[in-house]
Amino acid sequence: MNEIISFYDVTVKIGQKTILSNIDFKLNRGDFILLIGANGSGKTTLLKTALGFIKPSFGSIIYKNEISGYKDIKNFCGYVPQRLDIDRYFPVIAEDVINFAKPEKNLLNYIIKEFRIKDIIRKPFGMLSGGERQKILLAMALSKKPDILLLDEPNLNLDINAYRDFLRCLLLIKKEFNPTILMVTHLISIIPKMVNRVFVIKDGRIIYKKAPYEIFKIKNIMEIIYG
Amino acid sequence: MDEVVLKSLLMAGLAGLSCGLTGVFIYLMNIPFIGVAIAHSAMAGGIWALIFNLPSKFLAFIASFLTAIFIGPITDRAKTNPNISLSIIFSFVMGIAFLGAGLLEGKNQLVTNFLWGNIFLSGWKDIFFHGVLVIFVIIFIIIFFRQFSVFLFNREIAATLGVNTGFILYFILFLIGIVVTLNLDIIGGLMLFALIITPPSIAYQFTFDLKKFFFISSLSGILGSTGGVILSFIFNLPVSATVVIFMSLLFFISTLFSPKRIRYGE
Repeated sequence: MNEIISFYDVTVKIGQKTILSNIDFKLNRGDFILLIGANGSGKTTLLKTALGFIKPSFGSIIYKNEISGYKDIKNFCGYVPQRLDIDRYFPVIAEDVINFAKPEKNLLNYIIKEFRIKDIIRKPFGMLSGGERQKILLAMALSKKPDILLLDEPNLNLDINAYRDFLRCLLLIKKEFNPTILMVTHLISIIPKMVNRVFVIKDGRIIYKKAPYEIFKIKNIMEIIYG
Repeated sequence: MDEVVLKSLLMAGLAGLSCGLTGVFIYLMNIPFIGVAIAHSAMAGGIWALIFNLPSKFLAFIASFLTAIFIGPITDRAKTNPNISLSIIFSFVMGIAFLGAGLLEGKNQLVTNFLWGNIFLSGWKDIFFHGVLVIFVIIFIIIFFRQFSVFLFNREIAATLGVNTGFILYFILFLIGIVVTLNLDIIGGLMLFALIITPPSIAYQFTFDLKKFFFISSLSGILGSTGGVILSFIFNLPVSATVVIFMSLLFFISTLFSPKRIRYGE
């Protein structure tokens, strides 16, 4: 059995409003899925439902590996949130953030070297740039040696160079540790290498599941994503 | 040294220490109204206990803890701005407290103690209980330091790192409830909040290290409260007000010499 997480006809309602409708997909070990859609299409809700922060109103989510069922995906995932509204003077340095995940020493050294974060590791987290923060959060998520990485719009508020640097680290991880990755974005212009499927979400429904090269063949793709 | 002075100084130091430690949570969770609401509901509980001739500290704790539990789901779910909901709760418990104060007859001194505090009433038994509480708080902070750190940093990330965020939240609220109750008739419900929020505000000027943050906040709490008590003895001033003013002065001075601001040019 190769499935990491499966959504079966998941619907999420918040109050009277339906945020996700009949979501149905499976992520296999080693998949790198890009979930794209316009603002308010349900991308972040889907990610938070996968994480267990939001309970489905209908349908079910099954987490499993080769041996046994996962009861709580939070124990097996690394999560990089959209952004952290943290005060500049918050008493935590970048190294503390990575250490929250209790990394092994060798892994920590590897991350510091390959992510090129040696110069920022002792800096206050609140003083880092958006790109540096995202790299530190990715390093923290990876330090847990997760089976699955869930990334919520890591490109938000990053300039193109910072985002490219973030993707460089992500691809490095993918090559070295091969985790399953589910990355939410509304940026279609850069589809990272190694992405094997792209899900397009609109109004809470996944309307396309395509290979990356097929995505640009969808006639109104720009309209779907950018409105 | 006079025994009353000694007991007052010891109690002031312990009050400053316990408030300085728990204040770190309130400060870094960015929910200052929680401290205010809990302090005032403890005051309401204490005053209403006097009306019904019940043990005032016990009822003060129950009231503060119930408020903490009521606040928990609101901040946890955060469907409204927590500070808005909390300011409504604060007004509500303030109303209940003053309603009780208005109904009480012939116990004005006891009501005054809850409002303004009276450090001279501290006995050795009170000092002992407060000391034990402080030791427990310190032990819990040491044991759960990683969980507290990541929880204060970001609750969602904490959940993905195996921290039981619900437990930590309610535990912190429970801790605040106990500390507020024990300090209620020492500092007084009206002044207590200053003792909770000022020490971490001072610590915030000095360090990026959470361990040092706890230490500086505790130290500021002790220095501010004992310094205030000494000044009130020397100049024969009301204790609680002097403590609060002295502690606020320490805060203003700390902002002038903040190494963080000097280093980062702000």
